[in-house]
Amino acid sequence: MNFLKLSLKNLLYRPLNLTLSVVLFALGIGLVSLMFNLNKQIQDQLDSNLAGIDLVIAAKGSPLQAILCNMYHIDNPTGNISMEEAIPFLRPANPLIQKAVPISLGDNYKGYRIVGTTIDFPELYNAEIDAGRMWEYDFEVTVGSSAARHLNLNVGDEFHGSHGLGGDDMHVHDYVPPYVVKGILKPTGAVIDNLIITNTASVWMVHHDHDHDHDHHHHDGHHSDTEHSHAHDHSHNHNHDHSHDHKHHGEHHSHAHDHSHDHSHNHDHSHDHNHHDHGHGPGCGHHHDFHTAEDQKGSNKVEHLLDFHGEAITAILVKYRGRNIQTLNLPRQINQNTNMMAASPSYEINRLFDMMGTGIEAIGIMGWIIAIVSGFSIFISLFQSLSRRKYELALMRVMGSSRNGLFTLIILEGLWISIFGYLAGMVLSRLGMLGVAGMVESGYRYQINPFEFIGEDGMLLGAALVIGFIAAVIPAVFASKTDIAKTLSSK
Amino acid sequence: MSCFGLPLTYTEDLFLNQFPQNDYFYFSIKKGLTTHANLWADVVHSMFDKLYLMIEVIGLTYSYPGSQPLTFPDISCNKGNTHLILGKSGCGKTTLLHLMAGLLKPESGIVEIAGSDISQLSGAGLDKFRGKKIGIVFQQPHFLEALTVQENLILAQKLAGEKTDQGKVNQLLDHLGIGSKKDKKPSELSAGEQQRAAIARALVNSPELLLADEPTSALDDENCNAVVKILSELAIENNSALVIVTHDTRLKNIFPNQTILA
Repeated sequence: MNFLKLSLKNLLYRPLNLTLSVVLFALGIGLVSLMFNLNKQIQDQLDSNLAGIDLVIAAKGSPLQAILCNMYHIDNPTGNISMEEAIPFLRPANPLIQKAVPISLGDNYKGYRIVGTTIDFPELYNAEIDAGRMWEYDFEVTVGSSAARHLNLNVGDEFHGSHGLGGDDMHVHDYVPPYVVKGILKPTGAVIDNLIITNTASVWMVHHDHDHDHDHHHHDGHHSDTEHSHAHDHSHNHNHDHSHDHKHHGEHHSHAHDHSHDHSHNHDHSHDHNHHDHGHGPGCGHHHDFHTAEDQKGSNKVEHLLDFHGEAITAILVKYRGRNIQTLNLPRQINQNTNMMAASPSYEINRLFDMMGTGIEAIGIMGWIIAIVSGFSIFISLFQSLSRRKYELALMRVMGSSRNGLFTLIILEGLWISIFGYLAGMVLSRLGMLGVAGMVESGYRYQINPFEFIGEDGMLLGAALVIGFIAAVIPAVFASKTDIAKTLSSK
Repeated sequence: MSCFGLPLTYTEDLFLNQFPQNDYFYFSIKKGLTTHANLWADVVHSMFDKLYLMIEVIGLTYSYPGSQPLTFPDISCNKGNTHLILGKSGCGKTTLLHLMAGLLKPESGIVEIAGSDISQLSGAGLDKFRGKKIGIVFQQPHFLEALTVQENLILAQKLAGEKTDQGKVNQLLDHLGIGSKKDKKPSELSAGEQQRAAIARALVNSPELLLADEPTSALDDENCNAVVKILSELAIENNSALVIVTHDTRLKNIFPNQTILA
């Protein structure tokens, strides 16, 4: 029966008092820990997805939105950029740009985004193939590890994408060939784990066909197109020569078409175009539909896209060759001289973090306040127990305990409460993180590990013990000063 | 009893204590001896008297702030003997007990227990001494409520710096007839059982001095007799000096060694 055990038994003898102190303490510690963990997880997620990207070029709008959409895949696109404007930046010969990765968004499969891009995209995240191979031909996809796991996709599986970026299954693109899973990526810890990746052309094709069949459907941001190609299409009244509007594509694509199909298609196409403020590639879908394998070869390379002047993409992720005065000026030049917007991820993310930081800090401050109030509650609870237990304390002195013994006993009681509070607080913060993880998972497809134990949690144990000690010091001093004779002679 | 200090006579002491009305019987033993033998008996007695002296209080005074100083008569008690301190409420009985237990520091005078003057001890040393050498039974039995009866006894051993002796705990509780209650919390025991458990706690370290503060005043005659019997029996078994402080006049006729406080 040492003091550690005795102090514990004393506390457990009054479970309600103990529970009150512990719960209050746990709330404080839990909130502070939640703040630290949220901060850490958000920072980690934001950092791990920077992927060395120096610049995001997207349609004009909110730069933060452009970054969140195209790098973090948690917001809607700001719009589309035409290939005509994008191509100068996509050219491998660009002296400033080492790597330019086009991003085309618009569809999802059960809430997981389908990204039309090039083979450079997985390289940004150092993603490697786990099973199968990278996509090569149209309608082939490579799936991020967690997307594959959650969607239960394996190599060889087929699926149709749904329109939009959310998982609401507004409708399914079931009139185009299904996507075929050709490979699964190894986990990277980055956003690519939650993406389904295909070539740019496949995304284009889906949307052209999609739009002609579903022209009343509302779209949130995909490929706008040049007016003239539509007008042209229409005026030609489905003459399938296409020599004019497809002069850029001509060399790459065969143009065999089903007439009746094209008829209705183009008709709707123009209609759709007038109806909504954005139109679609001049019959591109047809060409892609009938790509030969030869033509599709290399469709996951950026070079393949350089001739698609009439198309549009969502954004370009840019990695500079090096930093110099020209790269410094590049964003301004893009913003001033083009219809596009250049956004710097590190700047925007810092800004975002500052904004979120305030909220997270507020949680933390609340936590600390509760922790300190709970320190008071421990103090009061121990103090009250002194008057209730004055005979016990006097008796302990009679039985041979020294003043220091009583001091130690009360301090230990304070420390026990803080340890219990800390442990319960950790459970609370893990539950909180579990909730956050669930929300983040269902809302943004991000996985965070709610059970990570970070350094700050260890530091919190120290803080908890300090609070417990301070709360117990005064009662402990009083206990050690118990006047035994007076206590025992008072009836 | 101040006649024989020899161990063999303890039983006799007890016997006589139990039947104080038969005091004449004790003196008749002396009467029956020859004058020569009688002389020897007195010599032997005075020799062993010092050897078996367990507590001696000499010239003790104490004063509470703002009141008259209290002066206490000299008191001594041998191993295995019982000394009764009688007095009305407020005459300083409990103060004397606390002085003897080292819970209060006397203004002047000596409290010598088993050869050590406890007024020379202080702090943790005095606390340890008290835990080891002095057992105290209070009028109201006090325990650590969170612990079982058995744990209370073991804690008493620990706090006194003694090794845990489960056997002794069991034996003591069995002896007091509450062996079956050892895993119960003190609050679950009846008043009589609590008092016996408190006696067990006071005796668990085999103290040289057993102090009892009004152990019987709250009890009816039957329980009073039982407690007195247990206390004096155990004091003899443990070879402890028993000092009972009380205003309970029922004890007056049981223990012949008495000091009356005025």
